Amino acid sequence: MGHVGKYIKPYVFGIVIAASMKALGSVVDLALPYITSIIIDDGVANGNLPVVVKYGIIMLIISICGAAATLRAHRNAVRISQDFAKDIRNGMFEHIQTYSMKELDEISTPSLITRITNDVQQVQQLIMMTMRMFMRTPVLAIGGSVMAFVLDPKLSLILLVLLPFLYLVIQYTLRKTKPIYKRLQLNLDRLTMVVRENLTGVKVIKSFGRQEYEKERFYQRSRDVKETELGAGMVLAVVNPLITLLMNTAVIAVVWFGGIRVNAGGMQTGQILAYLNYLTMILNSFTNISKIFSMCTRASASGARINQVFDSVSEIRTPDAPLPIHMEQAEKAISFENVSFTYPGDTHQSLKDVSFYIEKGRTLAIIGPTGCGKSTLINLLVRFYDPDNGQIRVGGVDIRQTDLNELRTKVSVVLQKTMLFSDTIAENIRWGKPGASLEEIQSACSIAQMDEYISQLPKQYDTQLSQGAVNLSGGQKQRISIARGVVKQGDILVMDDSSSALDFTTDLKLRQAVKTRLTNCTMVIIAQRISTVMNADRILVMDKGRVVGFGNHSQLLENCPIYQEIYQSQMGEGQTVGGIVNG
Amino acid sequence: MANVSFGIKGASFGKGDVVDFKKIDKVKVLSHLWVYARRHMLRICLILVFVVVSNILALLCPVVTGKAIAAMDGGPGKVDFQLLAANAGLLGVLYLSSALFTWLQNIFMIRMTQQVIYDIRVDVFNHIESLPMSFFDSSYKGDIISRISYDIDNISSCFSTDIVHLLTGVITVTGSLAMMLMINPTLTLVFCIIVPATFVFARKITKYTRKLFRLQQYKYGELNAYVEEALTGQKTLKAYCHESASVDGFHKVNGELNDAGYKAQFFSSIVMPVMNFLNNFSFLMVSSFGALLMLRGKLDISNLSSFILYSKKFSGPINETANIINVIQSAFSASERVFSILEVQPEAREEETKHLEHVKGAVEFKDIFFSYLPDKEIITHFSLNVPKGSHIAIVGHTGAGKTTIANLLMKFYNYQKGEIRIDRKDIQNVDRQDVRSQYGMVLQDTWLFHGTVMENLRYGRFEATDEEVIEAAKAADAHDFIINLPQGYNTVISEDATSMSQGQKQLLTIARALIADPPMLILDEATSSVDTITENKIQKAMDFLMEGRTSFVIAHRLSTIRNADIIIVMESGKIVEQGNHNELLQKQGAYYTLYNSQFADV
Repeated sequence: MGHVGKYIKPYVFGIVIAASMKALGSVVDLALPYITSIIIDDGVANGNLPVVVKYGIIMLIISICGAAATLRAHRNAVRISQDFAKDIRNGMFEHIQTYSMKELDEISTPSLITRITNDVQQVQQLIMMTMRMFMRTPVLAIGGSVMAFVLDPKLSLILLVLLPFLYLVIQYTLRKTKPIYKRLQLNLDRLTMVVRENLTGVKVIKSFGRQEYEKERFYQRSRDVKETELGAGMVLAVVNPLITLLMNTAVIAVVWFGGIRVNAGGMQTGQILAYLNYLTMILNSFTNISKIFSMCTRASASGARINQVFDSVSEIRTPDAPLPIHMEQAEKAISFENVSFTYPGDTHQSLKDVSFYIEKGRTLAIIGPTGCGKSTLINLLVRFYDPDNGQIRVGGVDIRQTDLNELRTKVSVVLQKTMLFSDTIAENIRWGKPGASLEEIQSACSIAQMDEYISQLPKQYDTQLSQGAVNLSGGQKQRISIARGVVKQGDILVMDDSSSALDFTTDLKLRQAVKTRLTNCTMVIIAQRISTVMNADRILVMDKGRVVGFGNHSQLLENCPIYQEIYQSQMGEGQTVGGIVNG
Repeated sequence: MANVSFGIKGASFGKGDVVDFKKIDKVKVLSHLWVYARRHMLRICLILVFVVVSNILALLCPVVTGKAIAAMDGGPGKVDFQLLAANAGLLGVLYLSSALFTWLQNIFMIRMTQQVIYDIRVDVFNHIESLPMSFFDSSYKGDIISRISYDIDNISSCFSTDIVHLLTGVITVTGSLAMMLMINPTLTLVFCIIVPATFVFARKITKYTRKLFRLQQYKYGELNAYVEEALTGQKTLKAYCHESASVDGFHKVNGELNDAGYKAQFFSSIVMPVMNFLNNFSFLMVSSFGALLMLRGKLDISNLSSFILYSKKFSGPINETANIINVIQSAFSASERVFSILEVQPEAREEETKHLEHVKGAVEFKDIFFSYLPDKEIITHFSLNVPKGSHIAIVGHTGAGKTTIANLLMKFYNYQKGEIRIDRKDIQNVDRQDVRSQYGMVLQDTWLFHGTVMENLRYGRFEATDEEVIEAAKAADAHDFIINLPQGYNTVISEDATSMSQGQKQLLTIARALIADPPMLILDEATSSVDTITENKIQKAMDFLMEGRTSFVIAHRLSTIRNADIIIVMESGKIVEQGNHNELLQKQGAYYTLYNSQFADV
């Protein structure tokens, strides 16, 4: 069971205790009929009230013990299965947090959600039911068989003949259902995916009027789930009647061969009756067999999926002996040296032999056509991915040799896709710096040009954001995420096209505030607007994954055709507006 | 880092801004279930027949076995083999048909369950599709996912096996009780003395644990919402080294789930041993009292022993029922969560639905007032006349209400006061879908679903041919990068995919809108992540497309807005300036300032 087994291990002792307690409880169930027969045969039949009372009390005590043992077993079962589930969920979540983007893309978010909740639940339920319910089956089955064997070894040959058939049924069921349950979990993933997409894309779906199409997509997924469940159900539907039939065949055989032996004088009718009772007992133990099978196979399919989560290990990790980043002593804040990169699963290179640098305290702007690899540079800079070739240095140190957290603390990134979480505004900003004071937050917000707006809100910084912060406009979201990046006070502040939804005035104020108030900070700005980049100390122009220009505004205007083209596209048609030429 | 927890905060979840699902009571849940069960009356009747028949057959077997054994009564050498064979044969027939009926009963039950589950799922999903935007704004995706995927799965696994067990149990108990009454009513009364106690106990426990199970399912939803949010924001999370804090938060939610789960499961697990004990106790009472009756000659031994055997038949069903009570209860709480979605009010249906036909595209706003929340007005006194075929650009500071105007045009939200007309028809009375189909909308936030590029593009119009799709992709300047993808137009993409740039995703959504070919267009920051050269190219395609069509463009970039027929400048939900580019520049007002700021030096 691999990783799942590791999480069960600490509880093995408790499970054994619970199982034996449950077995003890079941033994009481076995003992009671025996005492009953004494009460009836010796007590009631003879009209002997004292015997009835005496054995009655014994029975009462035994059943109290049985109840206590069962209770104990149940308590353990519940505690252990719950704790196991908690442990393994914690373990999974912690492990997922070490994933890089590659692993996340591979398993996909909807599937991870299913695994961490539903799959864990399957295994958890099996563990609990093993202790609570299933122990009864082997105890009764084995106990019954042993007693039958003791009673009459020859007749028990019938049971031996039965064994291979039983084995075949079990084997058949397991072989049939296992792949079905594997598929079921997969289909649940897909169902989850459609639901999630519908919740995220509701605006687009409604605007295109595609509800019917989405419904069709969902029907398809639910039908898949239904069909797989039906598939498993059809197999399991046979198990119960088949096993009962097998056992009952044994009953008929016992009656027939018993008759022959009685005729031969080798056996008495009373013994046959007793023998049949044991058979019935074994049979009764099988009532839950189909439930056991479905739980076992589904849990084992789920277990495999959980193991897979643990088996995916990211290569992007902090090395054993990380080198510290000393930004004060460094000359270059960032340098890329011959970096090439291809996204996992992609066929063409996203970055080809990229080299550039920026000195400490200076501003680097990156510009280039859509899909040229600008954001990819940032993905590599904070090690969301590692490059295939070349080196990236921050503060002179190869980032693969530094502590991941230190790197990401030193480099403060405001991502292109704004992501705010369902929490208060203050807490969202505090992500940048845990424990940041309100003053720090306010200061960051005033740089991000958000302070004024927030102070108008009834609850100000304690305003609760809903998931995805739908209660804010695009520009407001961007500014909060900029504030989050600013409050971090990293040595390097990266803004990946993160003011695209801001109007020019706000954007201008923002840039001015950043420039005057974050003086020691090295800035990296990705932008589409020439006006945003033209005052940077260095401008990197990218096209199709290559560096096609690296210099300042006036240099690039002279020698970089793409830069010229971008410039023309924004200032074009001979239009000149005041302030443009002095760049 | 004690209190750093994004996602669900135990206290605030389900309150305040978040959708408050109504608590629905037991009767409501059952009546919902009944709606689904009713469709399968024939099946249910058949299942009942199968259950009864297979149980009766099983009950008959001991009698036949007894006769078979009676055939051996003669002792050695005198066994009546003919009678034995006859009875053994009969037994074989009984067993075989009993097995057959059980099998049929299983199959019918599973088919019915799966159909019911499918129906519930589909209904819940359909209902969600009909809910207003405000529902989506305020609910946690993970929680809804949890309800549709896992809560329903929970109900399903309960139904398919456990309900049959319960049914069989009921039949066995009723049958045995009837037999016992026939043998000796007084003794039955003694046996039943503990029934009230059992009943009260079971009721108390189930009532108590119901709350706990509800809490457990609720915590499952929370956990799910937490994981969903954490994974969706994984990039941000990593960029801010928030892993350990998010793990802490997860531990907290997980711990709460553990607590709730333990309590719910433990208290429900008490039921079985206690019931078992009570059953044993009543058995004891019966044997003692039975012995007394016998001493007084009011009962004979054979009757007493059969009575006792029947009373023993109670223990099996009691055991089983008590064992699955937790499964049933969590399934019940799951049902509550699932059905409470159905209780959320859908978008109000227009009373008199009018239809829009051959829309020319004249749009008129008349003194619109709107607020998302009761006390905070976003749009006030908004009036605007848009002649057909004109291009409107909406500019203004962030938060001025630009996107809200687009939302109102699309009838995503209902405005509180005023009128919006399309071709002089008040859209208040026009079918929502009819209004929406008039517009092609491109949003800043891209949304792509898991599917091929081709499928995603064709979302705009399913009838579009491959050529038309490629044509649109070319117009949106997306063709070049699409053919560079590993499988070109057949490459499977999704919103989570990291290998496509934000700008490229925007190009795809523009192509998608181009394919839709709608009478009017709304572009809300549609090209914000696209470079300006590409944008210029798209602009040309757009100009061609927008020729003669009314369009609303929200943008900051000069190139996008300069050629608009009317530029409106918004501030705090009002129009402060209105006119074309040159007029507004000459005015030297808000637009002038806004416009010049993009060239200002830092």
